[in-house]
Amino acid sequence: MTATKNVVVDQALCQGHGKCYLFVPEVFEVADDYGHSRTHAIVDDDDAALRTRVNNAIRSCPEDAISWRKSHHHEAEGA
Amino acid sequence: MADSMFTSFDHRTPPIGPDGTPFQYYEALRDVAVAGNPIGWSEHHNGFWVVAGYPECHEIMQNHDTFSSAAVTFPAYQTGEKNTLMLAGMDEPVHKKYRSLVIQPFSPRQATDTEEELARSTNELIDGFIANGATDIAKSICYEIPGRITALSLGLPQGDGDRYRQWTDAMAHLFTTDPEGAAAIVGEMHEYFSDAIDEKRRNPGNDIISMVIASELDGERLTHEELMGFCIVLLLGGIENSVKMLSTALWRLAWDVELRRRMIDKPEMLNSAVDEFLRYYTPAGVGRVVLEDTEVAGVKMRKDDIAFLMLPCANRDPRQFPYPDVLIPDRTPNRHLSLGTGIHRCIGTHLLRVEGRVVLTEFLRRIPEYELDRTQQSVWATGQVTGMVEVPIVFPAGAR
Repeated sequence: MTATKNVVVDQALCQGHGKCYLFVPEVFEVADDYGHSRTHAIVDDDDAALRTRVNNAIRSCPEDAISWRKSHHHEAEGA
Repeated sequence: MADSMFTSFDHRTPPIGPDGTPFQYYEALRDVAVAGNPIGWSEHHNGFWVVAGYPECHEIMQNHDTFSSAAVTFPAYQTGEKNTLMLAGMDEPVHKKYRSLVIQPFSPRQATDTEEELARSTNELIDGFIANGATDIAKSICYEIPGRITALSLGLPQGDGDRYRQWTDAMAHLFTTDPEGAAAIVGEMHEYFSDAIDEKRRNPGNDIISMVIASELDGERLTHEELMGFCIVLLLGGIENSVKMLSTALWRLAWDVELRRRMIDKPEMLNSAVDEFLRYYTPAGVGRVVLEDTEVAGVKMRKDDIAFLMLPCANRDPRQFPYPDVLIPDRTPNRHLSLGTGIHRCIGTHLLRVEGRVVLTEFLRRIPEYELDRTQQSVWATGQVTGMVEVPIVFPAGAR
């Protein structure tokens, strides 16, 4: 068990569309006035429902800015 | 076949189908795009590329080094300015500097703060016609709310919202049919905003105009032209799309009883439904200017060519959206392009979502049963930003 967040928002790509924190507020939150997003929670391996919603957020992001952290075993999910 | 569809294509005057919208035609063009011709050449407006596929539109929007926003409105709206349209028509690095000045008032938190005023305003408008049992909802609500909210954020009287609509109409539509009439109306607008800017200089308030007046760019205060540019683009951006999104959504909910009942049962679904309305009835496309010879999907584009991104087709592309021609209110993921992607992502996104959710929630709460008035016509406006502009309805009369 590690405290590292397993979902990341690439700050260079995020443009603040806000879909991720609108639909999955348990994991994403507003980071600044621009509406940029960041994650604030770790997605539990056993929480399949939440993992599905995070995968939807990843596929919803108009900038492809969200991903499972590399080296994490969820990397290939939803591909 | 494919050729002929593109050749005669004019995004400003699509044929309206039996459902009262141009989407049957857009779907046909989309079918051509998906069959292997995502980009074609139209002979209108001195010739331009029509980009009708999702991946191609997405690629071009992301590639702002090769595709300039100078032709974001195409043919260009007549705003009476010497310069290019503020923010929306600008490229980097200038665009980013200006954008940073007005980001804060459009933050998600600020959008949420307008919720109460939006609900109050919507209910006040409903009070005005609920005893009649009939109204044109486009005119009585959808035209009113965006004008009021835009006035509020600019720090101008909400009652002026009415005039704003006339001005946006002149800049975006009237200029094609009556350039002189449009120029006169746009002149009025310049006078109004000049006075407003002078007034805010003397008595600054907690509003966007005052904020921009007080800000500096590279150590310099903004010029009158720049301040005017902000007023004009916030007016265009705040009103045109929102009016049509709201009118078209309420029109759909008037006859799609099943969808309406689902919304009433699960108002929280409106969050995702607003995005789905924006995808399904995409109000607008955007233009780009090619800055250097390039190639997209095997199509060679030359420097100075215009590429018009037909987002209403791209947002129905089955390569991106399963069942693209079905309106799925809780569709997810929903990576539609109606609010842009990349550096020009709509600055009012958060406000628009709150606007859509609150207006639809309040309307359905007060008037859960209503239908189209079949003795009259609903009217779809064409132009670069399209959507319903007249939606006469009837409902059981009486105050609720």
